Amino acid sequence: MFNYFSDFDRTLQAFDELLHRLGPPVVRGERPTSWPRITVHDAGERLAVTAEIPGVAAADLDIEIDKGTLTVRGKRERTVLEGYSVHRQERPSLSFSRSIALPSEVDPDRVKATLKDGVLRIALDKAPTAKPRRIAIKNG
Amino acid sequence: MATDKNLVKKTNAHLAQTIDDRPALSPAVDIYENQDEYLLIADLPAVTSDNVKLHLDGELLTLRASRADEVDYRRSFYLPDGVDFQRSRADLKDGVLSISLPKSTAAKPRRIQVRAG
Repeated sequence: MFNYFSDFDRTLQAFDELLHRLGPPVVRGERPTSWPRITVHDAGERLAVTAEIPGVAAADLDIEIDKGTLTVRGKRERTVLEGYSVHRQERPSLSFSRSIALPSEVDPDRVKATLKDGVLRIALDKAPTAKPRRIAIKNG
Repeated sequence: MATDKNLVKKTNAHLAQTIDDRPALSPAVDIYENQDEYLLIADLPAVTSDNVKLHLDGELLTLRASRADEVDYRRSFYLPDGVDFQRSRADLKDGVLSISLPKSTAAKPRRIQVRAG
């Protein structure tokens, strides 16, 4: 069976091994650059956006809606560990800003955002005109 | 002495895991060392502490975690000699797992008393 993840994993591993063979002891920056991972889910009446941002504090986050675009900005800084030597640093330490074109119009006054277990969840109510409507069928 | 090679070496055993298990994501990790311990830090967003498993098989440490949305994380590491796994501690906060792997005192040099015969 074709398996996307294991194929991808194997490629990453091969890359990993190559890097290791060539390698300086500290390996950096082998992760995808589009951080954080963001998912947009259309749940009919509302949109649910999740961003995986482990280790980011709520105080370091900024969420903005401008017309049909949702922007999430934030930063994650690496804790400097005194007296430790580094074997490997893959976890990105960065400032990020990601903008998403929302698939439908939303009510900017009815947006809720929560941060838990390193996941930012944003619930956006669709504008009344964008909500799905049931069409009644008349007897002919 | 522990080297970077010991900590990040991967073998075919790692590949075999993708066959017997569900597909899993490989979490990003940082690995640090000082004179007392190794410190492994992994990004595990959406994971709660009751869904993390650490398993030691010989010198192969495997980290497994699962999320409510059926996404799995999995990654294995070869531990260098002289890690006291029994004393290891793990702490999960805001989707970041920190594992402290203390170096065993037995691995440090000891003085042997010589008794008079």
